[in-house]
Amino acid sequence: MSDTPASGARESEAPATADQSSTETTHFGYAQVPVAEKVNLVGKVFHSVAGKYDVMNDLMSLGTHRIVKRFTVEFSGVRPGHSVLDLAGGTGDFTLRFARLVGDTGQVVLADINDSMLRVGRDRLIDKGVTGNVSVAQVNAECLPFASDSFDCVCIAYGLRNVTDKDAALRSMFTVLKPGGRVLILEFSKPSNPLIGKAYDGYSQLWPVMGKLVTGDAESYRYLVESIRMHPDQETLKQMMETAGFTNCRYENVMGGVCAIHIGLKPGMAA
Amino acid sequence: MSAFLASTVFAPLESLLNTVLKQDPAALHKLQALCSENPHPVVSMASTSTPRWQLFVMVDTTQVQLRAVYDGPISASVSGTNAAFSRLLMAKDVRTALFDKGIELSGDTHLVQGLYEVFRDLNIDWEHHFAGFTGDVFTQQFSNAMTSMRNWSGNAADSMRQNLQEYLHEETRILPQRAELEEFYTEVDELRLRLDRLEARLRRLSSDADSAS
Repeated sequence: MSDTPASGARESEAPATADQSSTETTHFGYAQVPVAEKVNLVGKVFHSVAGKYDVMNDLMSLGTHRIVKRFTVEFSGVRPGHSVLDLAGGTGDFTLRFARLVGDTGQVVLADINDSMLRVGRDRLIDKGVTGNVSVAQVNAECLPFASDSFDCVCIAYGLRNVTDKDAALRSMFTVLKPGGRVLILEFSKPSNPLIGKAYDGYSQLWPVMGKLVTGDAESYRYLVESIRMHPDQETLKQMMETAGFTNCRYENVMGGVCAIHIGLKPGMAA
Repeated sequence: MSAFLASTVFAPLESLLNTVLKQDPAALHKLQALCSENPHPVVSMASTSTPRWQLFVMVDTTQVQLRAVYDGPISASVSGTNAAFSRLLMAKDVRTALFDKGIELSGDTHLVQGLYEVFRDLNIDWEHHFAGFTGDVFTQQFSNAMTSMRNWSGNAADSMRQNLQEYLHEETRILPQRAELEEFYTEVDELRLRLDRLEARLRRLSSDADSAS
């Protein structure tokens, strides 16, 4: 168990607290880790689960993640000819949908910080015959290596919660969006109904067990459960988007707030 | 109906429609023709009765997308009660179906009519696809059996409808004949006209009396 990423995180808590003055810390699930360390720890989580990522998504969400993703894309306003950045795109679920929408004249960039996830995503897209209007890039969401005003839509689904500096990521997304472009953030959130909240809390306790059975790694899914609890709620994230510069920010709760889709625009006239 | 719930309902419907469209080259041809006339054909459909729902049909040359959320430009919109939409689905005459009393149509009506015709006229060569799994001989026999069964059930349903009609109209006299009904409606119309005339005359006489006094 000691070689699993999440348990590694707990071990790294000690040096962080021991040398608090010189090292800033951030949360990794419930644990505090040095800021510079989080990206590697999250990377290890996804290296560990990449191969069975889609199977686990189906199991944990009971298939509902497909409907939620489809619903999210409906808010994108993406049309033929548009350019889209699918950030933290992982196994390419969103890229697949966007590639269909932008057509031959558009462009979709599947981007993720994790090369294992990207490899799975790229192979999956090729297997499904999606080529030509899709490119793949390994990027850090906090400092996107794209020209300013490049994309009509930037989408990050179930990814923002893993980013160390969320404010920097939001600012970076804002920069690469074209004026009038739209950002879509799909993320786990806080259920608005206490009853749904209790049921969801209980159910999510089973995820590490499922993870152990399917991927042989319970710790990564324990991190998933903890990171969901630590993620900002709907209003806080909306406020963070506004601080980053987005306007017309709003959110749509899905399944009673278990997930939320945040939508924001970059001010200015669309080209 | 919430947008998420609507999207959940539309997802399998969209998948089914696109699967069927792929099997019918003539329908795809018509879709392409519609797209050549209108570069971004989007039709909004909304129910004005409970349960309320809104559907956006986005058409391209190879498929249709059914969405619950859309904030772009719309080519045409169709609204009406759920009952009117059901009549639209069941209607036999394509030309008059869209002009039902309960349906309100605006924008590019040619697009709506074209799209409606595409879905009404979907004609899939099931035999061809079936033959790929079972072979020609079995498919031919199965198809003949299905055609006979369809003809028999059609004839049986017709015959039952006629017998029931005759029983209710002629034998039990529970329901009036169409001719009797029409005569009754004509008499009601005539009576209404006479009443209107009488009312107008009374109004005129009363105003004459007022002006004389």
